[in-house]
Amino acid sequence: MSLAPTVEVENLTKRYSRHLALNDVSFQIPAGEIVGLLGPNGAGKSTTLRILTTFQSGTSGTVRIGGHDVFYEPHQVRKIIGYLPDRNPLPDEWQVEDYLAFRAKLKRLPANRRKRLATILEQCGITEIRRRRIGKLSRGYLQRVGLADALIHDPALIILDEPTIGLDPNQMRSLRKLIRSFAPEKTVLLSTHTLSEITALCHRVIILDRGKILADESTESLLRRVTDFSEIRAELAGPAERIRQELQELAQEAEVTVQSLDEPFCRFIVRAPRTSDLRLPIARLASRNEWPLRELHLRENSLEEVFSRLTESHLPQ
Amino acid sequence: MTAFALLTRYELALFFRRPSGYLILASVMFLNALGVLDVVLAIRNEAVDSPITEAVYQTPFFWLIVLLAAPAITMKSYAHEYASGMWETLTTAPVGSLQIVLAKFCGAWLFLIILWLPFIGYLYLLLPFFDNPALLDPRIVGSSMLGLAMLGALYVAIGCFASSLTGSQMLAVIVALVLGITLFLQSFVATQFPESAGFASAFFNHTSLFLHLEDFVRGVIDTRHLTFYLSLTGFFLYLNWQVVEMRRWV
Repeated sequence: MSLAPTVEVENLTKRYSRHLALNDVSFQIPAGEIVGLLGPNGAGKSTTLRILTTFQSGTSGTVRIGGHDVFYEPHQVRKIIGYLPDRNPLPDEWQVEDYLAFRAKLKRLPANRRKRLATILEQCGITEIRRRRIGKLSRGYLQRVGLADALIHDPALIILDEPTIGLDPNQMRSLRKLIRSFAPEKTVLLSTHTLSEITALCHRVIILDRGKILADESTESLLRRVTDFSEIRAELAGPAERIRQELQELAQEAEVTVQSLDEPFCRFIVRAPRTSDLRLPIARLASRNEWPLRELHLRENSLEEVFSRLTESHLPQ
Repeated sequence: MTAFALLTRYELALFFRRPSGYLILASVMFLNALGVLDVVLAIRNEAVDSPITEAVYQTPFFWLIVLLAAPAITMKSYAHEYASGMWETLTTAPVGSLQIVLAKFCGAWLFLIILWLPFIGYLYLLLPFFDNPALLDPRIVGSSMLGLAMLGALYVAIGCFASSLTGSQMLAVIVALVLGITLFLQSFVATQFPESAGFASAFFNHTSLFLHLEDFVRGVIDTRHLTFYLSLTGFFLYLNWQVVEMRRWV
C-alpha cells in the first residue's frame, strides 16, 4: 500500500472569463487526514477538486500532491489519486465487473488484478451486482460503483465530490464507515454541503464561499465554536427599549436584538457565551417588572447556523 | 496492453454495446445494397470494361455512406462524454490526452472499416452481371478498400474534431457534415476549371476527393494520394488534440 501523500495548495486562483471561481486559496492537507471541503453551491468546491485532479488548470497559483505539481506532472498525480466526480458518470452499456476491470487495466493495476477486483467489489458491497448492467442500477449502487472505480488502483489520495448525495440513510452510513476506514493509510479530501457529513467523517474542515476560504480548522475546534455561543429567545410584553437595556445589563458580552411581534409582545434574542445561562435571570427580571413572559427558550447554536453565519460573512467573534 | 490499445478496444467495443452501432451498420448495408442495385440497373444493356469497384464508386449511394457514416459514428466520441461527465473520469486516469485522441480515432475508424467489409461481399454478388471476371481482380478490391480506409480515416478525423468542439451530439453532427460536405463539393469545383486556370485549377485538382480515390478504385496505389489523405487526417487529429488540451484551460 502506497504512502498517503500531502496536498499543498498555494495562492490558487481560477477565473472563468469574468467570474472568479477561486480567489487566492491556500491550504495544506497532511498525509492520512480526512478533510472536508464545505460550502454552498457555487462556492468553488468542485473547481478546487477539478484542479487537484488535473482535470482543469488554475489561472494562477500552485498545487502539489505528494510533491508532484499538478500542472507540470499531471501523469504522476493521476497515478496516486482516486477521484469520484460530482455527477458520478458511468457508461450505461457495461456490466459492473467488466467496466471495473477495464478501469483497473487503464490505471495500470499490476498482475493481482482479479484479486484486487474481488476485494474492491466486496469492500464496496457490489459483489452481488457485478454482472448487472450499469444502466440498470439504483442510485445507491451507482455511487458504490463510482467509488469502486475511484479505489480500484489503491490510490494514496482519494478525492470525493459529494460522495453521499442521493443515498438513503443506510447507504450513507455504510459509505461513511468505508471512508472512515481509509485513514490513516490514505489521505481523503471530500466536498459536501452537508454539515453532518463533516462531523461524521472529517478531521478537518475547510469552508469555502464565493471562491474564498472562510475557515480552515479542525472539526473539533469548529464544534467547540458552535457550542461556545447560545441563543435565548424571550417573548415579553412591555416597553421594548427598556427591556432591551435591562437584558443587556444582565450580560455585558451578550448581543440583544428585538423583533416586533403581535402587540404588545416583542421577541428579544439574546446571544451570549454558552457559559452563562440567562434563562433564570430573564425570568426574574420579567417577574420583578411585571412584564408578561410568553416564551423563554434556549436555542443551542447549530453547525448550520455557524455555517450560514460564516457564509453570510458574519463571523462570530 | 498499452493504454492506447486498451482505450481503442474500449471505444470499438462501445459500438457493439449500443443499439446505435447496429443501426449504423444496418443503414450502411442498406445503402450499399442500393448502390449494387443501381449498378445492376445501369449495366443491364451496356458492355462494361471498367472495374466493378469503379462502377460502384460512381453511384450516389457510395458517397452518401462516405458523407454520413463518419459523422454518425463519431458524434458521441467526445460530445457524449462531455455532456455525461465521463470525460472527467477518463482524463483524470493516468492516460495522456494524445493517447485518448488517437484511441478514439482508431476505435471509430476500425468500426468504419468493419462497416465497409460487407461491401466486398456485395462486389462479388455483382460479378455474375459482368462478363469479365478480371473486372473484380482481388488486387483491385484490395486497393479500393485501402482507398476507402484512407478516405474513411479523413472523415473520421473530421468527425472526431467536430465532436471534440461541443457537448451537443447534434451540433457535432452538423459541424462534421458541413466540413465533410464542403470537402466533397469542392471536388466538383475542380471539374469546372480549365487546365489553363493555373493555381486555382491546380489547387482544386489536388484537393479533389474524386481524383484521389479514382486511382484506388482502378487498382492503382499512388503515394501522392496516400500522402494527401494521411496529411489531412493528421491535420484534423492535431486540431482535435489541441481542442482537447485547451479544455483544461477553460
